[in-house]
Amino acid sequence: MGFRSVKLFALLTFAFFLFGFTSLFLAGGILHSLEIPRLFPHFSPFLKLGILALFLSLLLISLQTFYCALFNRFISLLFHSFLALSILLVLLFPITSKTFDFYLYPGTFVELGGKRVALKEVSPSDRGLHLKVFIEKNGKREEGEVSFNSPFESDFGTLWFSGIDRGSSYPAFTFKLLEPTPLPRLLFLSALLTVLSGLFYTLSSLKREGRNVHQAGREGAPEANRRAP
Amino acid sequence: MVEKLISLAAIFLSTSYFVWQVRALHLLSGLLLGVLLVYRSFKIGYPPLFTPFDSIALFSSLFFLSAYFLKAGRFASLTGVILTLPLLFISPEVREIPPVVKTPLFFLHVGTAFLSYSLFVLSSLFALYSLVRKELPFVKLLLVGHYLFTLSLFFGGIWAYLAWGDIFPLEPKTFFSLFLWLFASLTLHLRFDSSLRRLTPYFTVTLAPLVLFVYLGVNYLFGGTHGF
Repeated sequence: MGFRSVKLFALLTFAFFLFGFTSLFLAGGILHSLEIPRLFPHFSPFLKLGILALFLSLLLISLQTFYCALFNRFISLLFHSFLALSILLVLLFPITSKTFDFYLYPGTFVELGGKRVALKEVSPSDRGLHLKVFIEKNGKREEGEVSFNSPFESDFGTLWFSGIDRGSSYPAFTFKLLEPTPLPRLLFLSALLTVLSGLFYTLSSLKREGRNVHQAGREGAPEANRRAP
Repeated sequence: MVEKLISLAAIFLSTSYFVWQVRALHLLSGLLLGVLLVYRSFKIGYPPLFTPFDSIALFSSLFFLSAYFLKAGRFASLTGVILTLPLLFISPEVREIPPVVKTPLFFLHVGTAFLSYSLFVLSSLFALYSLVRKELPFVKLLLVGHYLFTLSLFFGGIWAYLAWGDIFPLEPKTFFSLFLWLFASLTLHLRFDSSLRRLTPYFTVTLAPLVLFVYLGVNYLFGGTHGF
């Protein structure tokens, strides 16, 4: 069984299912990928093993996709290469990124990794809450607004409004700060190139499939779909 | 009440296919369910595709429309009726519109996902028909469905990043969706291995129950970020 083998791909897909399902079952809830590296030391040995195996199965799928791409022609090579890169970046993103979860009240701030993050004011609208914030580092300040689906991007990191914690008598606004990293942009660029090249690859595959069906029809073969392209 | 009547009419039209064998009945069922979604969007003030009622209506509508354009027959009619039946029993009530769904990415993500689900289910039916009767081009459907599902994952990934700052949270729906995508990819690759080629229609048949599990089973059994 070579590294290009479809059987190996089947095995890796099965491994992904097995280890992913085991990890989900053992975790008993949602595991945000960015939190996994931070929480990893506290996981049970079985969960650690499950997550490592899941990571490894996806990594091998990515490497196999890239290896197979090398044997393909132009569009197929581009599609499979960008796809492999996208999977790899999805895996690298949580490992290489650092995040902070915290809460703020209007008019308060918090110090994180040499940065000051403050919530200035909250303004409700019919599209939800809009929160005016600023991030300050070495006397330089960047101000902006954050709301659901719209994080605040600055040179000092990206800030998300996660929700409202109603656990105490004064509802707190919860946030997440991601340290500056080029990975999300790289990942979305690679994913965009995957779907664009994927469109042409799908169209060429459809054309080839149609040709196979017609050819098989002329030859009188009843199993046009089962022919190798 | 209006919702239940429209759903019943769509089921009646689709059931009539068994008597009349007119493909336009699929088109009418799909359009009627589309009208139901437009009516509910005006009634609620926002397309409520995040509710089980409306997502089933969207799935059924796209399924009937795809069945019409792909000239599907009685199998598709029966499947469409089964998909639409829950609309008679699920409450169409909307308590609140979650702020996180107020983005165009939500419609792109959900729209491409349900269209791909419809094509996956139809490709399964075509594959089943190919196994028992005559050959139908199920691989073509699978190719288009797979591409649309790739698009759905792409839009979903951008939305998840903008909303939660995460691209691939390890939660039931995301995990099973990625598994469905890998399984469909594997099914498409089976043709390239001479010893596995004959398994392609069997794997394609498996896609329909897998899609229904990913769509309905995961939300009801496991919950997660996709349950509003």
